[in-house]
Amino acid sequence: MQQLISFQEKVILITGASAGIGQQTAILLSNLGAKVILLATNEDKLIETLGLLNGTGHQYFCYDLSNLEEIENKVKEIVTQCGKIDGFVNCVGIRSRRPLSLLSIKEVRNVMDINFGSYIELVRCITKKGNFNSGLSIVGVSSIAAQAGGPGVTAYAASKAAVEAAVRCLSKELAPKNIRLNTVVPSQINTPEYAKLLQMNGGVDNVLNRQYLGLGEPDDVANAIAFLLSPASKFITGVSLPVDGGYLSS
Amino acid sequence: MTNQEKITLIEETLENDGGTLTENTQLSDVSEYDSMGKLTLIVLCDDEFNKKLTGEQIRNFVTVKDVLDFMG
Amino acid sequence: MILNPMDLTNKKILVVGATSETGETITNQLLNLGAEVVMVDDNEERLITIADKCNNPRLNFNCIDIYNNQEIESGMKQMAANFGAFDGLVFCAGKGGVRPLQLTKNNFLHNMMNANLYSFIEVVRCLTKKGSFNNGGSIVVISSVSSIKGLKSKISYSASKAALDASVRGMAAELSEKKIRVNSILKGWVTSDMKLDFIQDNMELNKNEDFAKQLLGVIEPIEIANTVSFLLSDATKTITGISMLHDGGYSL
Repeated sequence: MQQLISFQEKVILITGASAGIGQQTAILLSNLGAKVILLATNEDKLIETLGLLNGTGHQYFCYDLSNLEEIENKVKEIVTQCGKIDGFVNCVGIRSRRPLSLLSIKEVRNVMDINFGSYIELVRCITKKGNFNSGLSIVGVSSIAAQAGGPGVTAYAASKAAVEAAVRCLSKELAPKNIRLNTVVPSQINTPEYAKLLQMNGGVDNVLNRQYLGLGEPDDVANAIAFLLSPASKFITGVSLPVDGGYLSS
Repeated sequence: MTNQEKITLIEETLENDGGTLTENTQLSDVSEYDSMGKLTLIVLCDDEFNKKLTGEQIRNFVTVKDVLDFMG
Repeated sequence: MILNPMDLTNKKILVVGATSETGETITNQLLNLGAEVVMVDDNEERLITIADKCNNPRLNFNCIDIYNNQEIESGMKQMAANFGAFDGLVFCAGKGGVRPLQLTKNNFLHNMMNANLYSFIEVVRCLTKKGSFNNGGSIVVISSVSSIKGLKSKISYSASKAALDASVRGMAAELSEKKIRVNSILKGWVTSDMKLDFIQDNMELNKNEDFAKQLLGVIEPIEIANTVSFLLSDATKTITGISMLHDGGYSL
């Protein structure tokens, strides 16, 4: 019996892999037979995540993606050691919450460089001839903030919207190479990051009122990512797929 | 930059396999030299050689040598 | 008595990026509708030329390098000091450009973001400080249909415009306290675009199919000026956070 989604022998690179959605995605993909390559800054957390994966052949690389200059070399290194890439999931990102009056350009640029700049550079390098296999699928993690305005999230929202727009262009540009790009758009998800945010707001989150299916789990997003990575979704490209418990439509 | 270096640069930028292009290669035979390829060449000339390549000029290029001559 | 819902009499409007063809057209139309206008751009010669041509006592200008973030804060303070608080801001500055992915290095991305997004955020941040902008005012920025539709080799441009529109939504939420509205216009191809950057000029890539998608034909700058005026006026007191399509049917 054929499984709808399986990644036997597929090499999948995941950034931001040592926590939250990235970590859950890594675990899920390892369960589905993938050779997972983890990329993050904190070695201890990477080792911990490696230990949670099923199967063998997984590897990790320590790298700080705020260093945009060396990404090209890092990707070369990864491909040399692990083989050509079949899938790329970008879960790295920083949150930012600042009122407009205190929003310096330096801060905006910082958020943009990490959430958007590193994504573009990674895509540019991974999609160079010889670094990927035909059928490559790339999934970015956006946010409902990209669509829904709210106070204090201007920089964060802008960076996520930039990724979504880039995906629409890149999917057209890279289609001739048989590469697909999409994003998942999560609302509030139960991660340690979210727990911190909730604590800062005194346990109150009004977003949940509109997110009528309740708080999401990292699993929910990982499942959607796995689907978009797999050949089952080979006719889907350039989309922003909400995984939002009903938020954007209500 | 020598002509060979320029050719290698063109090959890399158009994502050709290395060693496929010579001065006499007809551009019309290069599959990567489609409308995207032409645009890439325009940007390359601006970035690396500080020369503005116009649509008219590019339409008149027949061989790789024509491109090298333009790059100067 | 004929009522003009787009009457801008007694409104003081700052036009940032006023020396482009669209910027000049907007400036003229705002004056026609009764507004006081202050033009801002980095090209002093052009500013003087436009002011002389208009010869209108309601028109003033100031030369500021709007793509240099450091100059914006002092520039905006100067505006408020010289002219008093504003009722409207039109941001029509920005850069275009095409570049395929493989040549899209971070430097190029940054310059695009700086021109199309960072400058806008900084201008709004400084201008909406106490005393520089009246409650009930309106902010309009020119975005592009590229924000919502993908085109080959337009990654940086599209991303910067989408980021711009997202920031508009964020600002709309935040500035609503002061009843300040923030909106963007998603413009399609405008006649003045044809004269842009040599790369766009020679781009065969998307051009012909692209123009054909604009079912009602190419847009004249005066039409954009009218949409801007509409969003600046009291007629749209409760429209905020929108990205208004003005694209001749392009995105259908």
